Amino acid sequence: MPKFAPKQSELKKEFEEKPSLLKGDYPDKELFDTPVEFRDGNWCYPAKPEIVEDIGFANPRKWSPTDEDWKLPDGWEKTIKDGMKDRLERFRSFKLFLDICVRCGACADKCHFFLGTGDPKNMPVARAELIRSVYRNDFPLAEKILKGFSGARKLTPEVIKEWHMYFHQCTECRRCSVFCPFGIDTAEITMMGRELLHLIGVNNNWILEPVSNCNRTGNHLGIEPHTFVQNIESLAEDIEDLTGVTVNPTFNRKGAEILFITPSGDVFAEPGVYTMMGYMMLFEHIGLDYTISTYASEGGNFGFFTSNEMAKKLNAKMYHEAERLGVKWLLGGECGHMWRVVHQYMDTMNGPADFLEQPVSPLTGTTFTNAASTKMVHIVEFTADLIRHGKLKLDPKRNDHLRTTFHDSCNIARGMGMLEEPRYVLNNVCNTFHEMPENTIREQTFCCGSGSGINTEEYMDIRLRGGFPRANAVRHVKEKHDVDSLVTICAIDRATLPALMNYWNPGVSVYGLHELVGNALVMEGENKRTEDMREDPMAGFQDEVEDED
Amino acid sequence: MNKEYIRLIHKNRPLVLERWRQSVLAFFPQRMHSGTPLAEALSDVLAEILDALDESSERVGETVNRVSRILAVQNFPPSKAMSLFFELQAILREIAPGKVKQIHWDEFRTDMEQLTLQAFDSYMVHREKIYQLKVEESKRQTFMMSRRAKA
Repeated sequence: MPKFAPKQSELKKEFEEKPSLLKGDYPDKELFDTPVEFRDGNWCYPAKPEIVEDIGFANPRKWSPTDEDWKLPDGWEKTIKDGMKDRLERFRSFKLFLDICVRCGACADKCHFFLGTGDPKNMPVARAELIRSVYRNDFPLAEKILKGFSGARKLTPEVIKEWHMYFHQCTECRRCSVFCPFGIDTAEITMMGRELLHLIGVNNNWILEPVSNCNRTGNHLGIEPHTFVQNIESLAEDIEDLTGVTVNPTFNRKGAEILFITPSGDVFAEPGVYTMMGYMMLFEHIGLDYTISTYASEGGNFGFFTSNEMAKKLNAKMYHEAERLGVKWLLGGECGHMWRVVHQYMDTMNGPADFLEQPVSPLTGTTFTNAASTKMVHIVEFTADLIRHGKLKLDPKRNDHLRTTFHDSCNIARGMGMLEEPRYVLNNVCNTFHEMPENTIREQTFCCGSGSGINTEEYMDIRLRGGFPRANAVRHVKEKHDVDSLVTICAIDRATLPALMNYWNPGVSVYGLHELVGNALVMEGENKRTEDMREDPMAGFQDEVEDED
Repeated sequence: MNKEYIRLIHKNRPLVLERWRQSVLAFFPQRMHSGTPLAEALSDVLAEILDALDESSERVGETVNRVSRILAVQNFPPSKAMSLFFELQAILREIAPGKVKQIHWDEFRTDMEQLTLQAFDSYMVHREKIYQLKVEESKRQTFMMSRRAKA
């Protein structure tokens, strides 16, 4: 007997003291028999009928998750089953992930929603089981072998309600997949779950309205081209007021070297607009030949949260605009899911973009071989390369009023493996940066709790619960290092983390990385800087002015 | 430490804390797993409350505030959240039946009721805070629009 093996007495003690299913220590109901309860704060408003019609999705109607009858279309069971069959044939990953899970439970305590709500159906394995149980019951080969046990069950309206609740308590962040020994990507199961729900009109307005806007106007809020231009010009005026430097963004300019596309949140929402100002200052500083499209005016892609086809359609405008304007390559702003689409799907969805060139930095000559196929470079790797080659004049002291930590956005960290570049940039533009605990950053990063189209206000309770693990990690550095600034490189993070911080960690503000770059940039011909982009005083610089006075 | 019940709690601290922790984790519809960050945060703050009982009212208020912040966003009714200190009363009565004079129990009950009222205030502040967050978020989403409207 190996000396480290537990003794019989130890096992006996453990069995007696630890709660277990065998002893009936858990609720006697089966997991699937626990009914779902929709109450204020745990459901998102369904899509307005006119929006569903506008994008040609199924079953437009007025309904609410709190209704007993969800007004599902006739034959909805067949629609779901046919839809599942179709997807099992088209997407090998879906079939594979349904078949190979051994329910080891390695993923169970990795999900921020499970950790924040304690609801067992939020264990990724259990969430996937919501679909897997129907698959087992209804699909021929699996049915023959497994029907009657292994949690097989019939497709009922209750199952649909459960899917709707729990596939919107998954932000497709993929933290669970990092720990799965089989590499099962539960995010893809959630995607399939949501696709199937859309076939019968079970949806979420916060996702479909941006999709409809983007489909029609080019960005999530539906900002018309002239307003889009005015917003950016207004931010350019702010830069001039603040620094005395004139920046000259151009729009829809044919023949520019680079087309810059960022999430539209950077153009209309606070604090995203300060990040936009940072981009423009950077481009002015290095004399970049770039243009912004008022048609491909959205980096994000909420279509990604509906169906593969809609994601493809909304993404297509990037290449279309690049071709129309005759640019050489694409530069993309700070965003999360945008980069999962760009990095992992764009090339095969809408590529190859043969009309573009392999991206080469005009300042450093660096060839971005990682983007050889997509022809689209992430702004953070572009900036990191500029800093590495000494092309930026930076004064990190200008961010001394901020004590920072960095939140890895799920899709950037896990979706495209970019871990070092943002830290490299951050360390060059500020003097105080503290990492959160190891198991909450980089590829193990905790989600903001509001990604994948659930960042709507009526869902705030669930968001605050789901975001708790992230907030808890921030609290750790707040207490240990007096951190007061959470830096991130995702538009949804910038939109949602302020609320999460305000609730759990009052006093911690949220910043985009390029906002800090903008603060630190020493621009040619600038006025003496005393305030940051938000017109907050920079530490030490105010005194300097007063002394001189 | 001049209150009898506080002395009792401190004497039996590990047992009281563990039972209190378990009873609070059982508030959650599916009993919160003790290893989660939320359960750990709850455990920490419950321990802090026990330690703060004989300290300044400001310190107690701080800890009550922290636990209310956690309870105010959970998926159970306010009545359950507010039963927090009633649970503590039940636990102590179980641990020390007959050993404590009625006068001390009365004092204990009064203090726990006071803490419950304090927790209720804080609970409501945090519920209000959630609505405030929604408003602030909406404002941030329309930042440029309202700026232009004001210009």
